[in-house]
Amino acid sequence: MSTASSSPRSGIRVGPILVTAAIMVVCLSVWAAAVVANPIRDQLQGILNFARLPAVVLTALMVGLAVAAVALLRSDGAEPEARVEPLLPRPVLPASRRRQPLISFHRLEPSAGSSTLCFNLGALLAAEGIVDERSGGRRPRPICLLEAGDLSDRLDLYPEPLTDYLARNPVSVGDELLGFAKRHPTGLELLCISEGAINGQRLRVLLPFLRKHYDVILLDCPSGDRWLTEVALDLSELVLVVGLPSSRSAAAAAAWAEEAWRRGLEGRSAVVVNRVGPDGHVPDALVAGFLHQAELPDDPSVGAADSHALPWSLAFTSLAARHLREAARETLGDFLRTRAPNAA
Amino acid sequence: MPPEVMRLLEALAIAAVFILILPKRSWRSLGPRFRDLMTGRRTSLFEPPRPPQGGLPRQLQVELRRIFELGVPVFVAARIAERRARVTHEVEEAAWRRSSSAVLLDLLQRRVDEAEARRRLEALGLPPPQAKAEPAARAPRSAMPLEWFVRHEPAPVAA
Repeated sequence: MSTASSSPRSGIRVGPILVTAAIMVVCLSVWAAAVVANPIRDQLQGILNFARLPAVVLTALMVGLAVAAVALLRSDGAEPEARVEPLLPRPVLPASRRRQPLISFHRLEPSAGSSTLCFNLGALLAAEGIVDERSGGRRPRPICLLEAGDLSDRLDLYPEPLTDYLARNPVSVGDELLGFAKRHPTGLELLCISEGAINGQRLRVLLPFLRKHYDVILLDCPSGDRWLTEVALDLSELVLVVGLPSSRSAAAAAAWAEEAWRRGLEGRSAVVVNRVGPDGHVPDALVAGFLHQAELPDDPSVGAADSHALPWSLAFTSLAARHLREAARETLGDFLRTRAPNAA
Repeated sequence: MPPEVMRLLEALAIAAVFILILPKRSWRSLGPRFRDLMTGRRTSLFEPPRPPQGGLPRQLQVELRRIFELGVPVFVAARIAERRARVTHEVEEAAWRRSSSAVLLDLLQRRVDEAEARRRLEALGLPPPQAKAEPAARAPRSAMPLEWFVRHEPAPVAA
């Protein structure tokens, strides 16, 4: 996790210095032309004479305004953000209207952050979502099928039980599958999957069962599992392709965008650019092929939370959480409506 | 004073006005940045301002770089918008403190136990997280009545 954003105030920016130098060069050229004999010398002297008083008045006014702004618009509280917030476009994501949507996450390169996004979106939905609002409202129960890796290890999740169960029950699943899901304190349930454990056929078998018990199904799709990816693309209400603002992700995104167009999935697929730096730079090739996109900033608190298996999406101080919420409201607005506290 | 020096001072005064008025950082991004500030999506126009410390001269010294880079009009607008964004941020933070995310985060960080988290959610009028999914309870179905078999008994086939 980059921490480049933690030292925002240092460094000399060239742009303002160049602009200032250009202004100085123009004004000194005017001065030189006004004192050296030439055809427009008198006109320039007239301009300088005319501009003298307004320039002095405006300079004094600007200095006074700056002093007044600093004196009157003081902020005594602590700074809300101590790091640079990149300028990120508002997320544009398709709204998911299905009752129990399947949302699949596909990474464009290793460590793109698909697992942490999958887990954190699930935790956010479980903690903040509302379903059945007419009958008082209850929290949704999402399930996250998390690829085995560092995050699943920290959450004490292991793929073997589910893998064994699915090997023993290749054509149907029963209620005993619920026993393999681990409940997180947020209300999210987690299943750990390894590459090859859930192939496309098993996902087709699993999905109706999961839809009976869970409100949202989040699939962290192992990138090497081509069959599962194919079926996930067909069955998902929303396909999220997660990449980094790097040339490697940009190269991989082109193939994804082409596939989405070929299958007619462009309306329900989106690219999520994770860990956008303070300069806000995202390669055009990464987002150009997608109709929908969301960008999440680089946030050191994400790495810290992940190392303790804590859902950073619940924290107010996390910049990435703020943008994830915004993106989640865009696509899962039916679950994440703003609800007044004590409304009951 | 020689006229050349007089003219130089006039030219420098004009340069000073332009330097003080013109913003010198990515003009194209100013619009979206101000929009984000006004809606509370961000809290500072570019880099976060340094925390306030000391009297007015110290504050001016701290803000000198921003005044130079943004130009005075944009700097003043930025101070107003940042103040507004700060108020929005504080309101949002207060709302978050009363949300289930805050309670559940406390639970996950072991600042409160499950019972206390449940009590706090109840006090805030918020629904608790869902319990673990359980198999749907199914009542055992009674066996088919004997009469049904008798009624549907196939007729004996005549040899």
